[in-house]
Amino acid sequence: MAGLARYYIIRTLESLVTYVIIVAVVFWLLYLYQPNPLILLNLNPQLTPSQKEYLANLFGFNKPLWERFFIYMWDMLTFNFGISYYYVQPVRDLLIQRVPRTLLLFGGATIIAYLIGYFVGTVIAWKRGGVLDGSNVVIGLVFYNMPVYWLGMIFIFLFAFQLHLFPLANFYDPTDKILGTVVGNNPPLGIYLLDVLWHTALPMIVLTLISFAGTVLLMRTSMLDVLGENYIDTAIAKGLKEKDVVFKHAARNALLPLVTSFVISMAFAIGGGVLTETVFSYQGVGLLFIQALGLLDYPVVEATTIIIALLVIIFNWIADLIYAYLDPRVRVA
Amino acid sequence: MAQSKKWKESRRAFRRSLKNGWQTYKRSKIGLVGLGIIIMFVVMAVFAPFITPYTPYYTAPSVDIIRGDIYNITLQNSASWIYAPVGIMNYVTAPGANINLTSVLIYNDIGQVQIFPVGYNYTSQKILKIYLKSPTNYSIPKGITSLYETGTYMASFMNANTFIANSSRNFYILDSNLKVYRNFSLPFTIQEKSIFYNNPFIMPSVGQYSLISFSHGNETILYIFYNRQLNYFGMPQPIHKIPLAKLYINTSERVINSPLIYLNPNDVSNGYLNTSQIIIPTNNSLVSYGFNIKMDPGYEALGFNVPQVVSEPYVKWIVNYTDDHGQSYLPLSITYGYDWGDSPGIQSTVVVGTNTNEIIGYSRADGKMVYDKYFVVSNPSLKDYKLQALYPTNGGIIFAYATLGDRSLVALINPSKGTVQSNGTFYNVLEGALNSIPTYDVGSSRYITSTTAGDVYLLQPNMVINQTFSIIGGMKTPINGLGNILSYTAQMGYYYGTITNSGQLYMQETIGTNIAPLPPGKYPSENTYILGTDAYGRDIWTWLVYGSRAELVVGIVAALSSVLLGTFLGLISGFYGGWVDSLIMRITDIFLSLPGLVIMLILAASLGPNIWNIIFVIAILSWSGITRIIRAQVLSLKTRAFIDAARISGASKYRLMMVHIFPNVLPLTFLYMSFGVSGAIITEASLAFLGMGDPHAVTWGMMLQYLWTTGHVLDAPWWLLPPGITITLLSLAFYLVGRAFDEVINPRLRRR
Repeated sequence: MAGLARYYIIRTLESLVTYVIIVAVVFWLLYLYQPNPLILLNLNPQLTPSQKEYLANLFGFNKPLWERFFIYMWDMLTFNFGISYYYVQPVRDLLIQRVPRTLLLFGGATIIAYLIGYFVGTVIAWKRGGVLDGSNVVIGLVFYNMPVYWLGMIFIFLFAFQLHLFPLANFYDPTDKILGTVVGNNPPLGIYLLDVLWHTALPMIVLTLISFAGTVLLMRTSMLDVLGENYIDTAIAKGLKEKDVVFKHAARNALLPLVTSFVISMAFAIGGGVLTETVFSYQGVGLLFIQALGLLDYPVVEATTIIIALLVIIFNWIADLIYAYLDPRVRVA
Repeated sequence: MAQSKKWKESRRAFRRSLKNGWQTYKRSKIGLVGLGIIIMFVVMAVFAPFITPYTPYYTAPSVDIIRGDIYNITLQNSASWIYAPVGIMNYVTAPGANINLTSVLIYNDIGQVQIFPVGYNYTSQKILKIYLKSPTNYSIPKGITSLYETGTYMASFMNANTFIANSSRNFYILDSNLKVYRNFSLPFTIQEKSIFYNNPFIMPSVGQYSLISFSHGNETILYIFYNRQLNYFGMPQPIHKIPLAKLYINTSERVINSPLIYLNPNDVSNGYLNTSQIIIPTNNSLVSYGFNIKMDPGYEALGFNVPQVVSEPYVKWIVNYTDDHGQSYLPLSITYGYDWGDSPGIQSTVVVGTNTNEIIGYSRADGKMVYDKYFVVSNPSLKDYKLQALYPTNGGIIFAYATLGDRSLVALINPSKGTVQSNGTFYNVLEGALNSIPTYDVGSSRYITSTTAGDVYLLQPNMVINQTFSIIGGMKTPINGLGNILSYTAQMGYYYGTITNSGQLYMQETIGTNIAPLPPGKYPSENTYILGTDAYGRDIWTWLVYGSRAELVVGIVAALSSVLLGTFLGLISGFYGGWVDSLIMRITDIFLSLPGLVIMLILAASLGPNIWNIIFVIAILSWSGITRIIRAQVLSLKTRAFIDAARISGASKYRLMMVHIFPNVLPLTFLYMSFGVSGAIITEASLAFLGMGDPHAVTWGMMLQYLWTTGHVLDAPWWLLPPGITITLLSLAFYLVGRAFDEVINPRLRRR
């Protein structure tokens, strides 16, 4: 157990160091990204010199670069993200509003994709070589190599525009009319949640389609490994029901790679959310990021990048901890 | 010797392993499919110019992508009309502001006139609907073939316009209610007619005169009158009392063409317009008759500005029909040479178009006209065209030629150069004979003309065809400029109208609407767009084919760079171990934890949109996974016996790494390169879609980006589907090749 604890401590420290380095890298990347906000401020003819000075002081533009860097590092490590240039409100408030939406979308999609992947992967591994296996692998691979935003556009065209089954865009209906009924400015929570689900459904389906293929293939490979083991033959020889052999003996043991991959893919799905959220105008972190990048809203770009990076690091860390707990070989290496 | 033998042996071994590998690979169906798709795209990329009809930046001509806002209005009560309309015009109720289209006037030759007030619904951007209200009926004398409206100088008064009309033997002046107040019976049937109208907007100090001449045989009658119907106090004057000067000219020779009336308002002195002249082409020579018009200033205050001819016409000059080379010609059209150093209003140069493809200019010198300039339409393919009309523009002279009755030529002659040079920039051949002389629309800077083939042409001043429209069923009346429709917020463009054979008023706005993206099909320019066009009129198929070039380059170069970097770092890390290994592994961990797309976007935005920057960005952020795998492979190889054997036999570290370990990790490198290409293609498309693509590159990602930013996702499936399909196919192909290759190098996988 001492080995495990040591591994946990080292892995945690590594994650912290990685986080600090990424925060620093983001600062210098954005410093590369011209134009400088101070120049933009000076270009604005409507500001008086005193206003410019006030704003430069407020955002710290007039401090030397190294000082700005350390202030930035301290702020980011203490999660003090500053004020958005564009929205003129604390970035933290924006994130508190946006992060749950992104987690809902990607969490939902990833869970569904893994459930499908688990069952389909198990079944097609058991009946390997058949038509079901082949067609599933091919369909899975096609979706796996498809640009997610393109599939999104097609789905918007088909299901939202032609068939009117889903809304065209947005996270919720900004008007006071939700799901065909007129509600006031403060809709009942139930109706609001239904509306949100209705808006989230289409992007969630698209994300699920794009990502279930990887899960199916992973589960299939893992199952095939397990099915080669002797105890499966023993179970079949004992005369157990096929369903029991597949799901109780084989699938359970094949689940380990799927679990760790699930945690990691959660993290990466959020980073890739920029595309899905853009195409569906789904006001999550990804859309906030891409809009801020276009608007030169540096505090928001910094904060969203760091939040996404932090989520990736945390999920990776969790995955490693679980893996180390389940597979003792990892601890030694 | 031994060296070469060894080399030969190793080459043989390499060939053998390649052959074995191919034998295994061949068994994988998906691998063959993937390879086939890649070969297809490589062929597309290599032979792109041969399998595409256009270049990527070819845009569909405006004839395909611009559609006019066409208003087909069925004329009310048109059934009660016995004869077809012969003319259509804008009936101006507020002269001076007569660019406004307020009413449409239609007349026929049995004396029926209908005036339809125009109603229209509009937003601030666009006319939504034009409709005609119930007409008011008028009657005019029978047989009128030409009704000509002269506005008046004073803009602020209603009902102050005058109409000039003529039938074959009569000349009428009508008031604004189309009531005849002057009727002149001509002593002959009109053969040639000519009108001069002094535009009060150009020469306000002179006033508004109309001069009209009718000719038959040797005789020419010239009428001169002052248009103003309101005096300076704004009171309608008794117009029927306004004197009208009449001039009778008996040329000794037969008049063979329309005369040119020439009133020089700048010569006004003491109330005399003393350089006025009428240039009459007779069958022998060009004769200019001068006359002096006197204005009685005493009448001006009361609005009776009476023109009086104070001199009998006298011969100012005569030129014979011989050119510089002594060759004789016949004049087909006479006009002024504005561009020969004259300004509008001072016409001192006369230009004659002839039947021998020559243009001859005469300049005024010492009170006489002398031979000045001469040039020949030298283009042999245009020599057979017979000149019909020649008239001045601000940029030169426009010709209308016609030949064989079914083709017309419009050409711009540059008087200083004197040549018609190249098709499309100085002349254009139109199908059908011209119905009327092209009219110039100042608002859109274009000429509009219609042909007997039923087509309407909009021509740029350099004679490039800007748009064409077909009027179904053909036109009954020549196309006529009707004027602007103005709203409170925006000028709504200049409208033209004609009456179709089916009795409908066809109205056309000159600016038109861009209708691209075009669905697949054949278009009026004879272009076929197999997969349609995008919003800029660019051919989708061409972009798809040329796009494969960029995608293959981006995919392969990015994947190769990242794989080489990853392999190199993995080799070093695994081989040397120690602090080098730790350092590289920490860096790898950091790169693995970076949210790839987000960092790529920031990096691409910082470096600038350029295809090589995008390749760099993709390569720099996708090597880390490969490094880990190669390191693990190197670590396992290091423990193998053949490495120990090599080390014992004295191989250097470098040799161990490059000769013994590197070839053994090479298959893995190729495997991940295949997956890497697949990923790089998708990533490039994603970056392009999010606006970080190279705007000068032809890529499938850019196609989707243009689709997204121009907002045609929901209405152009022919544009939405192809780039996504090709991205998926190419990415899938490399992925499949990777999987098949994986089976070759991992025999364990084959059993499945």
